[in-house]
Amino acid sequence: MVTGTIQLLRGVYPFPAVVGQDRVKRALLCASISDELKGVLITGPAGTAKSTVVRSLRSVVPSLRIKNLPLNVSEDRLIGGIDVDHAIKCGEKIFQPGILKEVDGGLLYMDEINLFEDRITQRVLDVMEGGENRVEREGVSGIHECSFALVGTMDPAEGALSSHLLDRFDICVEMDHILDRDSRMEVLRRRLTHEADPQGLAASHGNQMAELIEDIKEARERLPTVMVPDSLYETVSRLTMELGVQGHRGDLAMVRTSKALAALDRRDHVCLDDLHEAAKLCLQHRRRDPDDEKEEPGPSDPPRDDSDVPEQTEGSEWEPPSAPREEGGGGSEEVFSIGDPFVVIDYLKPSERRMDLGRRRGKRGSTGESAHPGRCTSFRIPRGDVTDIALVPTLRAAAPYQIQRRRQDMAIVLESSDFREKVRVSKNGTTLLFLVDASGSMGARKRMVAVKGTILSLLKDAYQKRDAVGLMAFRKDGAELMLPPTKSVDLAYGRLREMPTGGRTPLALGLSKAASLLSSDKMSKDDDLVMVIVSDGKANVPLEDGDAFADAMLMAERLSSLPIRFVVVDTGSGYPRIDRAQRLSKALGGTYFRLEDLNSERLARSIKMAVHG
Amino acid sequence: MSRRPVYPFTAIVGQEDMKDVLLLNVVNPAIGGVLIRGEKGTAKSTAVRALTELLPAREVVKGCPFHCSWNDNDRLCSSCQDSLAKGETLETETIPMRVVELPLCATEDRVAGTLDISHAINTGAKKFEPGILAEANGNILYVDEVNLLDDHIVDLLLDAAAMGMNFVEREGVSFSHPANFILIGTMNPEEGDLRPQLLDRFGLVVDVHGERDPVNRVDVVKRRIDFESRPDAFLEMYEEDQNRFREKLVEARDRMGDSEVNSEILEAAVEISLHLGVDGHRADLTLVKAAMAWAALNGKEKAGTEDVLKVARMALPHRMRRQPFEESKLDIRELDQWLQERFSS
Repeated sequence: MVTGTIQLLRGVYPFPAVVGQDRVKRALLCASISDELKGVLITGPAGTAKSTVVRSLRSVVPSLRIKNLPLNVSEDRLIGGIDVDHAIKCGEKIFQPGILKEVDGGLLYMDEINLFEDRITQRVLDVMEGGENRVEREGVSGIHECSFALVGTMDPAEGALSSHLLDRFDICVEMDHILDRDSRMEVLRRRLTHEADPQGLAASHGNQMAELIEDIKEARERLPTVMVPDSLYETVSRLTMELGVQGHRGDLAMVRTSKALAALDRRDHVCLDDLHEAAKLCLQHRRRDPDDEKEEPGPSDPPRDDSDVPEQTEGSEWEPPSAPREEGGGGSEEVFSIGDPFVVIDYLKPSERRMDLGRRRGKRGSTGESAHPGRCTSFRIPRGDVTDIALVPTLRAAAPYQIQRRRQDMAIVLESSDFREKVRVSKNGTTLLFLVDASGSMGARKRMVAVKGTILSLLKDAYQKRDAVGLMAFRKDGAELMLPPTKSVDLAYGRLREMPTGGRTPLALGLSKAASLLSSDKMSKDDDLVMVIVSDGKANVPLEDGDAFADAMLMAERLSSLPIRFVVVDTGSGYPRIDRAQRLSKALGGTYFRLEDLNSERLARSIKMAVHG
Repeated sequence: MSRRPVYPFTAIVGQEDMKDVLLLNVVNPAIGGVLIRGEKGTAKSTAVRALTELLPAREVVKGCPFHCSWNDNDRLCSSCQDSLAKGETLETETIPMRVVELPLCATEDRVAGTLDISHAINTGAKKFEPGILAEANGNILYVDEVNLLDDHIVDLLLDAAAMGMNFVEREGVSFSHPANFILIGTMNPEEGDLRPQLLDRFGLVVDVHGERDPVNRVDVVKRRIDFESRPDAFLEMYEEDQNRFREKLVEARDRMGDSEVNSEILEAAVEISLHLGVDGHRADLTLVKAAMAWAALNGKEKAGTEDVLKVARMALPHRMRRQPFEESKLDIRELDQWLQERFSS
């Protein structure tokens, strides 16, 4: 079948005409001569010729079939499903293979691989590793062998690939930044020539291409005979252990890659240089954070001294109780800078480590299913009434029975057992409102710097997940909406920077205002609403007269019935820890985190300490 | 279908920057579209729609629903490819280029195309029903408020823009067709950002403001009222202008086709993007292409540094920052100053 596989021979950019990018080119060449090397991931910013270099591979491996996997591919086309034509005509269910069959023996290209649904990427990687595609769906079973190389490209600024997916790639390379003037001009010149006169450019690199085609053919033949000296196996495991690589995929990938490299260099033996080069290709994405390593030797080591970020790991519990803070309406007002951002843990998913306090199911990112909005990603046999019918799957389900059913005048006869409904996933329907305590107590010991750093990290996270974010601050006697929910995280950043700190803590009022904003008509009813409360919970301004914290708790209980998810980030520090924020979170039915716990690296570290020491 | 009268391009008052960027794209479609940023009611949509009347005709495969370009064998739809494979010859026809609008509420299946349900039910056979990306092939794709577009629709656009092809692998349909379009988007920056990746796909960017000159403001309103009350008479009044303008554009396109890339503009473009520290090469490419188009539009045979400087403020503002949240390394005024110092000699 040729549909979908476009013939691009004439328009293919010549592989040798790609300026620089030696590592990426070597990686691709390795993958194209070795059938054992399967996943290659190429990362780099937009406009750095990632796709060009991948697609250009055809110019030097003419037999290569490259299959482009579109972002909105559906599962039935990817893995296969029932053959509808055959079902209608013969009343028989047989399996019709999908793209994974078409790509067998070729190369599957996933551009923007970080933007695919996780299910799709996962499936592709599973099949790639297992070497066979086993399908059980729509009443048909199918299985076929399936061997292909996967090349993915991505721009890390658009979101990361989770580490378990990352680990499945044998090779991961970053595009070089070409900053040298002459090279840049050459890039331009060649690109423009290619656009105006593709044959001209191909002709001027004709010799190089012909040579490379020969080299690749030769290397393919040589590869099975390439030997790895025993001593080098040892070097491999030493290297991977030193870098803290988990699992054995890294070791295997290194051996395979170094063999391919040796074959490309016309050698029958792998040498140390091959290993070094292979390490750069295979281990970069597997090594653990170097900071993590430093902590490794002794869990009793004092935490790193970051003057900006007060420590709150187990190690700092001996810290003297903090002095009572001035909590008057005092005029002191300060604008703190923003602390260093970090990678945030997946804080909105019910975390396994904690009791799941939320009664509402998380549907962050693409994990949730809701009534109607969102895009249809799959279908299922309906439970109860069908309201959201998935027409195509329904027709597919009905197809095999058409021959037996009395069609009369109808083109197709549907029975209730045929009905399938859509499974929808809303990907960008989350609105996050940050309710930030900007009172004087937050300014103590520059706590606000760390708080702002945390909020910035949460904002970055929100950008990558495409959430809408709003910012509300409460201090002195009021709560101020600094930014109505918007998709512009840049604006949020600006407001955050300017946010002043100082004054008392009207917590109850802040809660009430934030909740009424989120329940207002302006909010989309279909959105997942989340309120992230960043505070130490030390309320000292009551709604009217009375106890300020009791007011806040009362308010919290009232809000807990709203269709809003609550996340409380406790900014309190020092010992003994005051459990007010935690109690508040309980009353709201929310999820509770300590400020420090949101930092994924730090969290990993504190878990490790808890386990080991 | 009766066509609604289109406000003539030549009757738009002021907004020279916006007109310039739009025309550059007509002269050289390879520039890669334009993003128009600005408040509401600043003639953004009017200008884009008015382009329709100035667009050239193009030669396409006769009867092809995707209007495959006749001379571009690399980008043919699945059915034209099949015809070629069978040894059939493709006939041609000439059709006008036009502006296709992508409404914000469009769903994925309508944008990318999907299974033709009625055909499937009636005949039991699968057939591809083309969507907006198919319509947009060879045309201008216009997205009003592009920053409010749903995320997965943006992904579709990016995917199509990356290769100039739309691949559909859904609901049992496997189909590909060319989707080579000039992307024109408008946005009001206060309502949210555009993803950097999509931003980078726009060749040029222009900021528009309401007309500040009182005399011009009056003119804007007067002409609009004139047009709405007596469209035919209004169009007639501008016919001569429009014709002259069309000719000018045809000449510019011809000149553009004949012109050659020279080292002077390459060097200037690289120098500028190095100074800005942009990673990708799209900025450099756009600078060169836009500079050549600008020269062609102004009747020059050969583009020079001054043309690169002229288009720099259109090709760079949206590329000056690499990451969200990173502070701008440079603002446009600083850039202007640097350009002048660097290239004044």
